[in-house]
Amino acid sequence: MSENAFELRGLVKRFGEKVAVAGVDLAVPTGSFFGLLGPNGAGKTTSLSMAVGLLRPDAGTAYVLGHDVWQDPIGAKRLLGVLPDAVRMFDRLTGLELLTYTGMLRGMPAEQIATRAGELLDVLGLSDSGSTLVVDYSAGMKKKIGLACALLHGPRLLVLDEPFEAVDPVSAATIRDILHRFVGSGGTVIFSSHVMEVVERLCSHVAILADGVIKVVGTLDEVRGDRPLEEIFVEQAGGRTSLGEELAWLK
Amino acid sequence: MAQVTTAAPVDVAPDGPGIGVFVRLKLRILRNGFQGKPGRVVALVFSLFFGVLLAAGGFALFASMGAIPEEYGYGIVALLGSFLVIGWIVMPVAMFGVDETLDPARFALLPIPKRRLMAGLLASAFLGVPAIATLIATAGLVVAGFVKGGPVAGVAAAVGVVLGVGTCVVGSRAVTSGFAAALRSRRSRDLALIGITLSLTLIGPMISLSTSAMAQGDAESVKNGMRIIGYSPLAAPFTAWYDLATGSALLGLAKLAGTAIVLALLARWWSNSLESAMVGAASGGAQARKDTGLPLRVLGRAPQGVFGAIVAAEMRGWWRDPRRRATLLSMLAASLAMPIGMSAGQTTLALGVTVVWIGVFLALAAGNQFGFGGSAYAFHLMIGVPGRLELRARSTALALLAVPALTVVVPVLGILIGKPAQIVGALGSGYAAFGVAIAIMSVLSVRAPYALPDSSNPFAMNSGGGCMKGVISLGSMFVTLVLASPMAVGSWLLGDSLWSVLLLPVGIAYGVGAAVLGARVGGDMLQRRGPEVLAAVTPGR
Repeated sequence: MSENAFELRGLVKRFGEKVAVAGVDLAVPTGSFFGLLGPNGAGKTTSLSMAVGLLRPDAGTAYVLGHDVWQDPIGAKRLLGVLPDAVRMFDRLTGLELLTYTGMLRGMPAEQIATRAGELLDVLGLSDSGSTLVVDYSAGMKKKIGLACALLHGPRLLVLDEPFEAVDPVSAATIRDILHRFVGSGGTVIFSSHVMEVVERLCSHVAILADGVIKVVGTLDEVRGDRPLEEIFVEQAGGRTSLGEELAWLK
Repeated sequence: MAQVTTAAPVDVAPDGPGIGVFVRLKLRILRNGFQGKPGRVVALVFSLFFGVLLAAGGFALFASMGAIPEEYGYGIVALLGSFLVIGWIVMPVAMFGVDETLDPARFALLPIPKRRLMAGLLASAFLGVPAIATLIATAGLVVAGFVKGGPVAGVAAAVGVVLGVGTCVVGSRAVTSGFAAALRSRRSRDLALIGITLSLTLIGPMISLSTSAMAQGDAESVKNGMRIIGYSPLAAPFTAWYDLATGSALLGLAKLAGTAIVLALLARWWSNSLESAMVGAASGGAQARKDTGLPLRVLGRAPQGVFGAIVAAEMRGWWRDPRRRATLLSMLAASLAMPIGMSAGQTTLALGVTVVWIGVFLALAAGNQFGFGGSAYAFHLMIGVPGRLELRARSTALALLAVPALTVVVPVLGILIGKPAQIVGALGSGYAAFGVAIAIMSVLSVRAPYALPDSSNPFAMNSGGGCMKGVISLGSMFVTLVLASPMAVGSWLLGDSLWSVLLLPVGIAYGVGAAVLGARVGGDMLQRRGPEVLAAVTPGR
């Protein structure tokens, strides 16, 4: 078990009568680049939110490098960097201010914050935004500053919800490089996505989540075999509705 | 679990960040909020001005207790103290909202021990004009304490002031976030919620009722009444030093200890609801929605055309959106509490005069009606809904909810205060006042819309926005009352006479006429200002 950086155990969440997540178990090996795939509404965000301590599960828990997220949240959150789906930040701050206060709230020494924040802003191409408040950032810039906040304290595990959404190709390449370096130095990344190309290109491991449960899990090669990943995905997600005579008026 | 595979990455302070970080964060956010926003600066200057005025006046008043004999001073302090605490707890729910510059949900991912987080949030909660003004004003009691009872009483007064202001600040946080938690869970019983809101809003009127009843008795019973109020946790921190000064040291200490316990309980409540605000944050729109409002289903089933569609959508919105529901319910509660308070004791006020308040309060909810939906108004703008139609439909939707409420509340009130003969006429006044108020709100919601913060707390206000909102509400309320005053004068003149029945048709005509006119004026304005309204209500800046 010690080789797992992140473990989700029996996570369940109901909203009223709707079961959003129906018992998710997942083991993310240390040093892996893990892709969590799933169609819209599959429960990806709900599962990850429960696993990082943002949403109280109805049952189950998660472990970050051995720290129970719900029993020992402080220990878990120190090792964890999260880019949530709808990024909720103190957005009436500039990018530098946001990073600085995030570091201070994490109890980091001031010099370390200053060096790291400057580097992160540089690398992510946000240094020129100077006095622009985060609230006025574009969607892609918000993703990037969110990622910077997640990286600032040097976490050992990164949990990223749709990190490439709304990000331009240049920034996406930068983010890929950052994540590769992070994994290369012993860190672990899990991210959710429904873009097959990104996952096939980056990930060492994948899991497909549909209808609130994990359908398939394993290394990328184990999961896809000799077929394209998209085919497996469509199959697991319940197949696709073929367009027949409906929408005939749409011309 | 197995051993940790990697060592902790950074050296971090084990207790979490210092309190100062929270305070500086709040100050920084506030300061950034003023950049390029002259309106906010004006609002700040306004609130600073009133804050200084109230702080200085309050300080002088409380300090002057040192020169007043205890038999009068004690009662005054007890009354003022309880009003202060009640105001702090009731006003955010009923009118102003609470400043959520530091939205607790945004700390959810950070490794901050809960105690430290609470301490930090509390320290930053004190950082505002109202809290500082209250602290300065009540500090006058320390002077009074020294004058009356020497250092012992002075110190006791200082401790009491700190505890009392703490109760104010923590109480207002606890109540608003407790309400917010209750509103978030779909299981919450709405009736229970109305009940709680009502009983909270009723505390003030009940005290004024009991004091006015006592005022009719002899001085001795007034003094006894004040003594009782002085024991309540509302006034105890502010009166404890009197007991120390007059030799009942044990009683004084007991009062201080009691307040400390109340404060601790409030803090506990706050801490619990804080947690629900934090770990419920990600649930967002994923909650399963059930159609709860049966009456709405019946009324809103058959939308015909654009008008019907907007009416139906608005009515559902008033019920389903926690923020709108919170506004509507607290307005309803306030509309009940106000006339009951006004009719307390042997008032000579006609029912129709007090009822005007109900109409006004019910319509106040629509004061920022475009703000609730945020950028959703873009859809109407894209479709090109005519401005007049838009406002007519929105007013109709609120009227379909408020007018039945009015029709039930007014007769009940009339019977309660023993003026059944005036009920029919008073209904007319109520309808007229509602019509006038909704007309003003129609115009106001186009003229002065503002964005509501993207927060899980329906009582949250944008930083610095609370004052603005308060000024606008109070101003428009005043205008509405002036415009509705003919009806009030009418009911006052006609009193119990049979002629008062005439007020009903007149009032309906007055109200409907005003509402239609308001939708016309506001609608034409909306036709021109649509994009500006959208920009103003889109959350962000």
